[in-house]
Amino acid sequence: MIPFEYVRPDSISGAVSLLLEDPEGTSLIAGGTDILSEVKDGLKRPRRLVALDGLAELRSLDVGNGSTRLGAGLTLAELSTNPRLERGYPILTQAARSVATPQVRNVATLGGNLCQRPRCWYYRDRLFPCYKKGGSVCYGATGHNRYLAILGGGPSFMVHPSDMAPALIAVDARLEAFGPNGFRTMPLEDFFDHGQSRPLQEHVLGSGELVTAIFLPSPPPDTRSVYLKARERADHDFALASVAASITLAGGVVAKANVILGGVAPTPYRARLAEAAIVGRPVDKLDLQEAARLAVSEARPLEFNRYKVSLTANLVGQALQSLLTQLKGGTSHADRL
Amino acid sequence: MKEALTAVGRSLPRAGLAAKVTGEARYTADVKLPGMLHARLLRSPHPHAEIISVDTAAALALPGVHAVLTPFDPEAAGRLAPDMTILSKRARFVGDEVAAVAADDDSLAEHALQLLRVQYRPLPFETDPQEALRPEAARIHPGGNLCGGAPMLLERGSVERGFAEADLVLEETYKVPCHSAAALEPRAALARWDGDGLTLWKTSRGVHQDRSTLAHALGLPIDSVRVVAPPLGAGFGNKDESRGAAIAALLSRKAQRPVRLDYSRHEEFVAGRVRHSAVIRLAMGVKNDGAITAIDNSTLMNTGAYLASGPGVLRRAAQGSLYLYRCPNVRYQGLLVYTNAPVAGSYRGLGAPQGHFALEVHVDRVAEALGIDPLEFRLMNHVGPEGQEGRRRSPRHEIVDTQPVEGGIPFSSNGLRECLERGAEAIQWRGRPASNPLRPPALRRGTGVAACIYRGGPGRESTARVAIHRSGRVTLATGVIEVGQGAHTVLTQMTADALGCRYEDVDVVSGDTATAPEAPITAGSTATFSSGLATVKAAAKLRGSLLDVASTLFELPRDRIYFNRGLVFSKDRPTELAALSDVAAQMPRGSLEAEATVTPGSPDYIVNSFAAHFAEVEVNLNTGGVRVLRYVAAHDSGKIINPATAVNQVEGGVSQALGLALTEELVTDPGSGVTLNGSFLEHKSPGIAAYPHLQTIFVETEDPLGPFGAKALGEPPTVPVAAAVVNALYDAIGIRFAQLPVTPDKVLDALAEASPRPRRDP
Repeated sequence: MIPFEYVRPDSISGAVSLLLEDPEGTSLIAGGTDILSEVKDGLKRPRRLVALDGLAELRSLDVGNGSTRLGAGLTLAELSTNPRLERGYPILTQAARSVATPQVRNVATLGGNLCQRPRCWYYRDRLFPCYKKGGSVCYGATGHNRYLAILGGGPSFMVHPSDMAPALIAVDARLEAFGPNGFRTMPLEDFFDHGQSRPLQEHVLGSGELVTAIFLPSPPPDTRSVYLKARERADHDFALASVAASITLAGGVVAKANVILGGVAPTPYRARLAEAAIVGRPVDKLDLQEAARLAVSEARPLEFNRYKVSLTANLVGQALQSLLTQLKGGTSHADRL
Repeated sequence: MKEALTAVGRSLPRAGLAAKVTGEARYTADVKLPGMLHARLLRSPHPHAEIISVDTAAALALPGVHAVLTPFDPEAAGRLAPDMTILSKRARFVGDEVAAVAADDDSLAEHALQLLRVQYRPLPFETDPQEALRPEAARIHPGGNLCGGAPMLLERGSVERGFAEADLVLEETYKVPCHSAAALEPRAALARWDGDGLTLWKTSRGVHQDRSTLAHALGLPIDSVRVVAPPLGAGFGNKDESRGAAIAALLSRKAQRPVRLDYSRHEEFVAGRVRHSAVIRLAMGVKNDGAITAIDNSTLMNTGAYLASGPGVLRRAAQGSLYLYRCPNVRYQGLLVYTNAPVAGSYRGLGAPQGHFALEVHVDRVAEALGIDPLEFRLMNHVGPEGQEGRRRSPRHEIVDTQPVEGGIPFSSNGLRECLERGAEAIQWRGRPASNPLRPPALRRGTGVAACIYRGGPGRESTARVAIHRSGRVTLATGVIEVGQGAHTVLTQMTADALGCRYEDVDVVSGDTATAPEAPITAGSTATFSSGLATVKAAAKLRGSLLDVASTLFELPRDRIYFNRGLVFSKDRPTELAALSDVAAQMPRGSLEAEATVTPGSPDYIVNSFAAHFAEVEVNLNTGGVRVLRYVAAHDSGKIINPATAVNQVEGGVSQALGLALTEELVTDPGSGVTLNGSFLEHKSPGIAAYPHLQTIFVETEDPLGPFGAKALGEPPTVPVAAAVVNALYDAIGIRFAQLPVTPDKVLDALAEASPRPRRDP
């Protein structure tokens, strides 16, 4: 490993100043589960790591009546074991518990989870100068693409690896960032960006900016949400596909629906056609199969990932069924995978 | 009172376990010497390339860098194997060792690697074994890509005749991928020179074999090389190569300092040893009544860039087809092929898991076509204690030390039928429920069976030395390496009962060519049987000498005295005469020692282990996910010397092979030759959450040839697993998978092709 400097600022302003000193050569480190493996695998050679683990500003968890604030430095273990969070937003607990292993969750943070780099095998091997490393080729497009994108792919066919992102978007989370111009917030959905202008990141943060918190509005009454994740290995695995869904009922009619897909597109993917198929309809007249079909109707699978189309549709159908069962007051088996 | 077994058959704790659990055990990479340097290896980024030059000036100019070794150093041409030198001017896979650096610390060595300027001339390359056999394919070694220049052909009777007699012939092709043993401890070596003498600490499965390999490669007399094997963080058969150790030795000689080399996790996956991938075409002919008339097996195996133990693996892949079922006409054609892929070597079960996967899935296919229950078909056809029909061809006096092809030789013991019966009972095979739709409705369950025959036990010549000291403590010196399987524990138990001492009083000396007697490598499930026989023989000899001492001491005839659990008894008195240590204290010299060498096995019998495995699985039709719910493993490994460690072997083997069945594959990119997923995360070895409820049954045949009746156990638990799971999948969803691992994508693709139809549903 090439030596690097390790700095622990005592405030987020300090962190921002350090980032601005040498934007190219500086990386943030929180739990370190992603950045350290990138360094060890020779993908990144930061001259300086700026550690965020000492910053109390990033560590607060306030579950309020109006809204909830989750500090970006909270660990996934903290998110998966907080009873108040679980009462208010069980989908987040489900998503957090589905990540990796207890050991990883003990150190991995919320902010880090949202800023993860691709898990694509070609990205993770330094021998491939792929698009996401600043090259011009997506090797996965024609190579081993079993795990890659069926939706929204190109020029990179990576899939966004975060479990937290789809779940948070499904409960209308906003993201707070802090940078040289102070704080700004945005819908979390807008945070992710697969645009061609910045292939070296999957989000919209500018130079010197960092994620500080997530805000959650309180869910309207008669809202239910669920996170389902399919993977190859029972633990310690990223999603082959995941679905975060929430439904709000008003007077027996679906007033609002969020259907967000993970593991199938370069950013968390909103299945708009599936949402449109259920919003405004009486809850007892929903065609879940049709909604599931529509969720993937725009899929363009690659050579080895056609299975993801039916897998994702099945998960969407199962998630919606689970929500309806919950809204009818029953317990659901359907979130068992 | 009579002589009784006091150690053998008991679940005594595995030796060294506490040290491993508490972190006290010192593995190879934990051994530190004063002034020790750290080595790193430069690995080829090309799958196939000629190395034109290596410019080492910049690396050597870096302060703290003490030595660089390249293929242009004459001593690097030393030969480790017929097809492998210490370093080569030809790189044969992505990850092949090109050069090495020794520096004050790891980071410095890593930095120095980046300063090496290597000029490569890339060559055409092959990653697919079938393609590598084309006449125009890139030649990876001078002799061509077909190892040995010809297929391995093994034949009994005439398959043509057998197919002509058959009422039904079914043929199918099965594929098993390459995967890694993923041992927790990566390979490591540490070299130190004292004048012309070399000491090497290394991850090893046989210090004597490693010593002769290294002495030969380094051009040293064998007596000037000492090899020491610290505790091993699992071997699974594949820590059998010495390239890293040879490189460490040459760097150390250049630098005049001790040099340690240890592999990273990624190196362990890519540049360690993997299981041979296999493509197996199997044809079976049967009569309508279920009798098997012919089995024809053509196997193509990928040995990667070097041969390693390829021929042995290829031979093992034949084992099931040749011998598991009674059949007069069998043929095996095996092709072993070089490619520019990671090196395949020995990995628990050698080729048997691949061969049994094809055979045991095919047997289910044939049974179904005949309308016979899979278990009943096996009970009708499995090989019995009498062996295969036919005339023996090998000389009558010759020890049967490989799995024979010919008929006419009985087994020393064969508990296969009992394995099938008792396993079936435990999983409730007969009268198991039809796979009813479950709640939620997307789940389906099914049960499958697979059997196994495994040649283990008799290995090569083995020696043991047993000594008793005046203090009463006993030393067992054995060449067999403790690879984590409990070999030293069972040998200690055997020593105790063969000598009559207490188990607690036995110390084992092993893993060091300076002190341990010659032994074959710890491989092929031979340690308990072969080293056990040598141990028992040496201990019995020592007992004889001690009886002489006791006879004089107590003025009793020799045959009226016996030793049991560290006490001396007269056959004429109910209470003991003395402690064994009292006798030891009267020995004329400081200690008494006996040595025995055995050539295990027999000219009259085949020594094989057997097993029958049963799996119950649940398939999720929505996700393609497969869970193994319940598993029964019934084994005939003869007398079980230590039930607890034996159960560990079965549980570990089954768990490991579940990875082969359902999740693991090491993937080499055909476009670039780069191995893409060399990590615990992406190779997908199963975690604890995937482990089923597992019941182990031992059918304890007392083998007349084995020490205390024991036979082999180390590898058989991995052999039938994939087939049992795949057969259970068929039972659940009516889809017969012919390619491993059965990952969700394969399940979903297959479900999309054929609408699911649970086979036993009304």
